[in-house]
Amino acid sequence: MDKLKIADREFDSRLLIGTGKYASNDIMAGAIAAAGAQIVTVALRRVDIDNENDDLLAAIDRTKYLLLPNTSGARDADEAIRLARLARAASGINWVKLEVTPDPYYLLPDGSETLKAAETLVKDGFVVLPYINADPILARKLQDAGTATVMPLASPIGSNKGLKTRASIEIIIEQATVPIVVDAGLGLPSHAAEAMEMGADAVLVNTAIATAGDPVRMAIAFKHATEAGRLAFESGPAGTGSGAVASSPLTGFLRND
Amino acid sequence: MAELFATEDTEHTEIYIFLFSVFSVNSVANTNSYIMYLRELDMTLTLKINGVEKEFTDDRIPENLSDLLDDLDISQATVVAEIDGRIVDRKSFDRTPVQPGQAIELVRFVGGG
Repeated sequence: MDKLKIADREFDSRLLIGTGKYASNDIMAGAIAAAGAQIVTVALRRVDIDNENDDLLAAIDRTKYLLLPNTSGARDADEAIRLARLARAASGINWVKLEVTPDPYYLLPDGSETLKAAETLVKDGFVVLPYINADPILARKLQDAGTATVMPLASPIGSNKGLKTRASIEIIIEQATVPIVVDAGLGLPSHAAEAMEMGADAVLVNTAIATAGDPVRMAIAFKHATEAGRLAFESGPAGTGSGAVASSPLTGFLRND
Repeated sequence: MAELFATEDTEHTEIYIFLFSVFSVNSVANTNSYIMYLRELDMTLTLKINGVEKEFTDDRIPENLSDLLDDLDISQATVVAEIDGRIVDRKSFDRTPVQPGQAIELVRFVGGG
């Protein structure tokens, strides 16, 4: 399998893992390891000053995994920029998964605010990985603005509905000058494989693994699916046709006619 | 200026004003003296932490951000702080004074996608 190159870093794994919704930090750590992931997303939230706080970072070995803070919760560009800067101060790295989602029900990203924030953050030296609706025009504007990837959604976050935006993602991949990471809505390993077969450079999965009955085994399933899809893409899939084409020879049958 | 001290002690108001003017220069040393003086006067320090007003009295009045986090029992290694919209580098927590009325945001990483 080819390596995945984002900005100036190379990765063997093409499966990015989110760290939300796990029943415990131990299960999360097990799932990340089982997935063979090298990039893990995290969110930034206020400390609860009246209760004890779990230390998420204690469960993530930062020598093995690149922490990718997101700007979840941001409703506009300014909030996202503020979160990105806080995340940089907290993590010591300048990578950020940019998300601006003003709509609390479908959590769909706001394209114009995302572009605005991306332009500022790129100028500020961030490696920006923007989460967007599968909009080929916006994807092009973002890559032209200097983002490190474009991350179109397959379907709404946490919906597990799979690749509902397939036709648009195909166009995004076709015109891409940066890696395309399909993010959000991939509910089954087959969805991840489908995205990778199409030529996506990577996938990001959280809910489908974290809320599975056995997250560690599901992480293994997604790892295999992502690798299988990528290998298929790199192998050059055979063409399709409407008529049947026999796989076995059409001569030497045991009959005389 | 006397109302800054919210005191009924009108007899000594001028002394307070004098002391405030001495200590009001925004440097760590003077702020520390100011906080110590607040302690002596048995006064309180009010800060807005993560959107909620919190009052510190007597010995609990923190001198700096490091003190504040200790008081709140928050591990400094995992937290990031913003005072009145400005991010404070973790390395300077113990050199960053906290002052009455400041809005302090304390954030940290949690699970997310």
